[in-house]
Amino acid sequence: MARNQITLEQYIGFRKKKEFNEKRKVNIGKIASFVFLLLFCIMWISPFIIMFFGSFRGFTDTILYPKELFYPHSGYTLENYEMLLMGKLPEGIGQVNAVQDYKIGTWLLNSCFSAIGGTLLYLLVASLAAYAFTFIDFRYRDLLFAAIIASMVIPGAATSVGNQSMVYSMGLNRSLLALIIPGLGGVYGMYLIKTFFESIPKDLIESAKMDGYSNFKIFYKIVLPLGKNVLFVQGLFGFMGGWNDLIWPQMLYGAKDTDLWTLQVGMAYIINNSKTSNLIGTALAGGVICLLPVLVMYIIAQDKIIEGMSSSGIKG
Amino acid sequence: MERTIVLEEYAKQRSKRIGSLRKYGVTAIFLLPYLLSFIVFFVIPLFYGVYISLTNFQYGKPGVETFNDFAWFRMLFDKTFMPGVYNSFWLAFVHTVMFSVIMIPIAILLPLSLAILVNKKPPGFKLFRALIYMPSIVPLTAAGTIFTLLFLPKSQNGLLAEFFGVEIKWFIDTWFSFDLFGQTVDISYAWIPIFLMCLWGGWGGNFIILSAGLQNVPRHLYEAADIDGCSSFRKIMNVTIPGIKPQLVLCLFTTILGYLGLYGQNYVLSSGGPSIAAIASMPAGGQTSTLMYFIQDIVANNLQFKSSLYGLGAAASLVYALFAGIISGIQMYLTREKKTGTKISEAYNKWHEIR
Repeated sequence: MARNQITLEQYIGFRKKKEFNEKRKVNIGKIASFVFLLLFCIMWISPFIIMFFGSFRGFTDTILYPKELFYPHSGYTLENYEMLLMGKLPEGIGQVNAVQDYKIGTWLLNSCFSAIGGTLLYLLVASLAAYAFTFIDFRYRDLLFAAIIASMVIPGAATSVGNQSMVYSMGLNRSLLALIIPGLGGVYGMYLIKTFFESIPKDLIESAKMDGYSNFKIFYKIVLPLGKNVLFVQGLFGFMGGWNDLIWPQMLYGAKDTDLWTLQVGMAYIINNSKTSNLIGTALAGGVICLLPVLVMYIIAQDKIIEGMSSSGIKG
Repeated sequence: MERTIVLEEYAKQRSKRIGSLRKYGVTAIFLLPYLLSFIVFFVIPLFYGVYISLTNFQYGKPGVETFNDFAWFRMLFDKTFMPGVYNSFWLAFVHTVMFSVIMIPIAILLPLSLAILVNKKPPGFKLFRALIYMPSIVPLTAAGTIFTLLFLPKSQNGLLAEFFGVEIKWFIDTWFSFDLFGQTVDISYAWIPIFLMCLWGGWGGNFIILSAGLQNVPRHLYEAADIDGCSSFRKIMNVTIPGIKPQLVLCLFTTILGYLGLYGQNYVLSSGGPSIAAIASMPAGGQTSTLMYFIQDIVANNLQFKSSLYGLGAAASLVYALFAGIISGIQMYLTREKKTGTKISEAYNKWHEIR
């Protein structure tokens, strides 16, 4: 007992000493971590910069002057982008058949449809369900919800092959709808939305009901405006998930249905091509196009994304 | 005897009927879209997948299949039944486990140490945090272009070859081989680009979760440790690590699950290759195959396998899902909400009041 007790004088002495040392010591720690983080960030950001500058380097420069990364020998050019987006071959490249298969405009539209359409539809469906699970009383509600939550243990791989054949049997295997509809049953987003809805005071909903509001009116006049933030974050993650997904579009559409490919599937094909031809510049341009929407979104809503990410860890 | 109904009773019953219809109708409109898609695209496919794995089901020709005596599962677990498939599946398993064993400690410790540095709040720490997380939002293919550019051979002006004169053919050469249970396992140089890509963008989520956890460690614990004269290393070991234990557990398990399902990196960079002569005609018969690559090769990428081995893909995905399900089950059990001291005493008080 006595060993751990400190007297007031001891404590005051300790504080003084600490305050005396604090400025110097803490500053050293801060400066060291600043320098280290700065170096680390420069290293970790450099691939972005190489990719960005590489995409503006002309075809001949890429082959003849590969070391001039940031100042291309004959200046910056849009050759790579023209080749990708308009199929315009630069001079001196000869006949490259592979470029004819690069339907990057179509892939871009497919990816947008899948990511934006899928996210909006999921938000609607999931928030309706979360509302029902939170504010409407019906028999077996909690049992049903517990069963749905328990299903989170089962990983997506267990259902994906069955889903692939389901989609085929429903005649959706050559339709873009197959990219978004199977995602509507996703549990995690619905669970997060419901956790937020639970924090809305029940009295508010009760008094609205007293005033004769119907459930729909409560949903879009009270609950949705309050849940704007969480829906927005959920939407961001949904968009990024849909945009970055590679496995499911690959399972849906085979090698021949290039019109149905998403940007990710198409980009994997472009990268594979660039290993056997000298088209790495084109692949870099494709990478920039592929990255840009996500990057812009991250820069704009960086706070929200990091916040959403953090809260998932605190709650979990 | 005829039953007579009074007018009031009829009116009451009618309004009750309409009321319940309205009530259940509303519930149905709110719930049905979600519940329907959950059942159609989760519950039914789960059983459908099991069914496919037990029959000689052919993709695109449902309805003519028959029970096939667990042939797909025997291919996966019986060495003598079909050695080629057995070898390529277990090789993919070995690759996955080995890569995870190397990668998982890095994917926890690197973000942890960065989070500790950021938590010292140096000037501009918010910017650092945003920059450190940035590689993790990059689509796999976009990241793949950069790492392809780095590791292309000299003839195609790969940057490593140009700047440092590295002569290795990264996506073709074998790095080293070793024997495992009497089988030769070849390790390709292609694992290095894959490793670097994971090192670059494979742990951002962990970093954010851990640094959020660090902010929640009570300050007074550090002061108490100061009074006791702890060094900063001991402070990290005895205050910080126990303080962020829930976050660490969460990160550990999500990372294990993530690397167990490794697919995109090796597909984009090396296409599962270079192929191994003995099992080149089998699914995922390459030096950088993984479990997920094995499944994807059958059910998506190779049309020949898709028509002849579809059930094998279903069986392998069930085996994989069983692994992953057990791991995420343990994770959910460990990170479930625990009753803290106050909650238990509250529960006791409630019980006492009732008595």
